[in-house]
Amino acid sequence: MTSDDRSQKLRHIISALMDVPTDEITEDSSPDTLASWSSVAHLNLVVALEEAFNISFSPEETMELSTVRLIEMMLDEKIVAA
Amino acid sequence: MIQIPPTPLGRAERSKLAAGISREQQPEWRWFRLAVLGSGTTEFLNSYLIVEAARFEIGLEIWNGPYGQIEQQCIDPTSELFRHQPDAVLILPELEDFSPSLAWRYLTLSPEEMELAVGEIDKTFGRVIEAVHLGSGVPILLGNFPMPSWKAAGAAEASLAISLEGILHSLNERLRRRCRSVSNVSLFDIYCTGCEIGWNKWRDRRMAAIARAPHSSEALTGIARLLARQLRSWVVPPKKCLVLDMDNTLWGGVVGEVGLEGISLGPDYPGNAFLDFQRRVIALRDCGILLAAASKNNPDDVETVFSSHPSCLLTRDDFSAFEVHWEDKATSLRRIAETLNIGIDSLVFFDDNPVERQWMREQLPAVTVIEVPGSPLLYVEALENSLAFDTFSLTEEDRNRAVLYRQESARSQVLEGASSLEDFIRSLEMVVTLSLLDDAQMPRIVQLVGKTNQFNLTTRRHSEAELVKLLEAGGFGVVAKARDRFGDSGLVGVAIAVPETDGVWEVDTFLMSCRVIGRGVETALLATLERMVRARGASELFGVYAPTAKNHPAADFYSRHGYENSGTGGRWHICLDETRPLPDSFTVSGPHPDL
Repeated sequence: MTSDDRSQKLRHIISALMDVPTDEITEDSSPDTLASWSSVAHLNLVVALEEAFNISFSPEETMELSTVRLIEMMLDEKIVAA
Repeated sequence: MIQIPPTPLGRAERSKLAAGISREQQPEWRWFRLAVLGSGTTEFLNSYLIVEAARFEIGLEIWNGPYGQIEQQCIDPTSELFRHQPDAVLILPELEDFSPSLAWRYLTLSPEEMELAVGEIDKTFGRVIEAVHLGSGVPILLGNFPMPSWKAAGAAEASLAISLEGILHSLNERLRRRCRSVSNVSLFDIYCTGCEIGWNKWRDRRMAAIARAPHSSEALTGIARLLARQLRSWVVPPKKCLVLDMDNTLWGGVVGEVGLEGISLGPDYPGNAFLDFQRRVIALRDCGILLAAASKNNPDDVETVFSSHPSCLLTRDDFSAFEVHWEDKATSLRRIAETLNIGIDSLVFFDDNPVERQWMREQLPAVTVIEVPGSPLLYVEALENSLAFDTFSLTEEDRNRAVLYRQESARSQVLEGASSLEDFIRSLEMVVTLSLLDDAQMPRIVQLVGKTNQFNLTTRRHSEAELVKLLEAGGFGVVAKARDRFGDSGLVGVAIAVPETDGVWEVDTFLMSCRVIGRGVETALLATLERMVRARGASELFGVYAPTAKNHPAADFYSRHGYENSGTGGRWHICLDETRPLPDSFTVSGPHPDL
């Protein structure tokens, strides 16, 4: 899976969890820009990413995943490193 | 129609599915406003609850209480819980929240202190239940306590005088008793669900630490399934009769070909798999499910298995209807329904032969046909997974049902020999006891209201909470019990009247078990209801007949009893000038009309 594929998949997951169309999700999307990105939705996102990419996040990491860009970087790092 | 894929379902998929379910999109579903109160955060449960309930076409609108406020939300009559006006309250307590010393310092407690602490928690729930019932009267699903995240004493734990397992056992047993003793509270068996899933997989330490959400995805799925099943049992009436094939269903092999000695039934494989299935079937019968046979066979061959096979556990007497011959099975099932006086849609068909199953689906689509797996080792599971006989409570009547039906067949034999219906009724020496509906009878009443189809005038499927409301709003109920020389039929009928305006009442509910229809018990019940309504100041009474696909046996009930059709909404009217005489072909012992 390429970085672009991962990015697509991430957007689909966010779209499913936050109930927004994928084309409204940008690199800068975050809890501040999407009203539905609540703290509960955020943790659901963490679990969904773990399920989808077969990775796991530490409690500290879950708090750092605060924008789509940061999540993409974290995914690249975790999956390439693995 | 929304399609819910089977589990396992990812968190994102669940959320997306849950977001697509709404009262507007699924108006034909049964909808519940569910309040969830937990020691921990419960929001993560929501998509799981919604999706699992959707499998049964049950919709949920969920309100999550703030964590750690179970008692507070329930005790305060002005709390958010009550403002939200839920239809049901789910309570999920954790031991760490209710008694840190029981959860973490139990090694320091004496047996007396342990008992005291357990008693305190039990009393707290007593207050919680009372407050919720006072505040809203809604049903409570009271979760028992799951295993805390660690045990104190390692290898020595099992031999401690006070072990964590022992504490939970004693606490959960108290809650179980409490739930049994109060109406409208069901034990929500988290402990059992946790054991099935495994306590190692139950908790998510990370989510517990960062969001006070103690449950893993597996635990969330387990809790959601348990809830969905509970709600399903509230809205889907259980099936009444299991219709069984014989060859390769109750034993291996075809008895007509291989003979009594040749069939597989006994202590070794594959005979023990069939034996195990027979045990499960007998336990279903103990729950009040009627058994019937539908087999293409020589009746003598089958009877010989039941009477002479050394390992066969089922007996001929266990079957309330027996259709063993070479006619087609749809005809057999029609006859079974007729013999037992139940609807075709109360039958569940279990047959290893896919051709017979297909035939049944085509001929009698109302019958529940279980998809029987190839291996007899999987029969029990197939029966369980169908949920066909799932019910929220088992009453005394249920457990005696097979006996009741045997009495009934003795009665029909008398009827066949009687010169007139009147003579037959007199010869039964029936005693009908009428009394005011009381709390102890509530479970049976809720059950009758939920599942009586044929002699049911209004078919208003009230929940327990709704019944309580009717009674609190000034209505009352009369129940009829019947016994005769063949035995006790138990509680067989109920009528509920509610005031409409000054002097005018309505019969909200009037129903009888089909076992006693046509013997005049319905007239005795109506006469008593009218007397009691009059004693409450009524001069007019409206009866309602709301036709359904099944209640035509009750269609002429009001006209037969002198009511006049008022022309609208199936309402029938009578002026209560005269006292209706009680039937004289049996003894009636009734309440004082002023009751």
